[in-house]
Amino acid sequence: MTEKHSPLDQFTIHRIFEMKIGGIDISLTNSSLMMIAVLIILNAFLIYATKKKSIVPGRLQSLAEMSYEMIYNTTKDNLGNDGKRFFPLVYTLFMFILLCNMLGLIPYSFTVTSHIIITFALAFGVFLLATVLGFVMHGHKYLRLFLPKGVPIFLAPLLVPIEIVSYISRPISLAVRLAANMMAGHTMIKVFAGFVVALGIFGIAPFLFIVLLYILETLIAFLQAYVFAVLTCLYLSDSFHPEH
Amino acid sequence: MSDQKKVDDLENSLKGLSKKLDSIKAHNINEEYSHKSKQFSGFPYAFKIVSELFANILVGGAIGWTLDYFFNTKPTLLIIFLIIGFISGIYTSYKSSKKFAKY
Repeated sequence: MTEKHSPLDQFTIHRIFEMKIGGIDISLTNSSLMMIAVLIILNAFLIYATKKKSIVPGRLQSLAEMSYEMIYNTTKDNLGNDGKRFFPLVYTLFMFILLCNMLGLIPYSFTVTSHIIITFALAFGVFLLATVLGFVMHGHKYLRLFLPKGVPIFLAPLLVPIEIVSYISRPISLAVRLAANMMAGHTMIKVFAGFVVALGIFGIAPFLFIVLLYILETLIAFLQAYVFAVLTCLYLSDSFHPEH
Repeated sequence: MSDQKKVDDLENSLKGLSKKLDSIKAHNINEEYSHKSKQFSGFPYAFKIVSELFANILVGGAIGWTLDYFFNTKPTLLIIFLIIGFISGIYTSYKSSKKFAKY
């Protein structure tokens, strides 16, 4: 009984459909079910919204166009005209994270992005792309990132480890930020929901607080998806111009 | 003959005009959007600086711990890399805030 109402209970993963191939557990869990739902909803929304292609957009179409233009401008501002080819990646990441966050806010659903392994997988993909891109575009000169020009050589033993640590910490900071924000918000809502039950008639106070918290959480859900997109652009732009 | 030339000239000038108009329109639209997107532009940098401070220490500690594990030098490298993590956390957030000052 108490275990079921723990604030962290909402983050447990349980198997819905057991599957095993060659000793590898690939069961369908509530997490993967949620991700499949996100993908289906996302595709259905974008396909349906852009089906009509009217000049004066309807509600759905303008929603699709707004999200497109927002990320398009973000990509262009941060990466320049050259980086426009990464727009599909950034847009996909943004919409996926946004929908995961937003659907996670629905009661009884599951927040995929509250698990650090999911966000880390996304962040590590970006990190890998930025690194490979940097080496492809600049060759061994990309290592200049760790020792900027004009730095005296006797500072190298100190500066190179610092820069390496700071470079490796990029995907960690991306992943931890998103997961921590999501988890903290949902845990807080659940804790205050517990107060509502415990306080009886005075539970109206924490209940009102939850309503306000939900508004804040909706803002954070959007903002974190946007932050992820912007920082993806920033890290990719670092591999374009490693000297800056 | 001259009529044909006139028509060509007219068409050329028309094309030039519409090109100019397009570029002006595109410029205006871009300006409008870049103005709109300024509303949220501060948030990513704020989140970036905070989480970088944290993540650098984490990564420094993790590298130190792993190297210790392989070289059997239990606490030494952990301490050294934690300090490096602290330094790089401050250094990275300083660099990020310098970039932020441009906006």
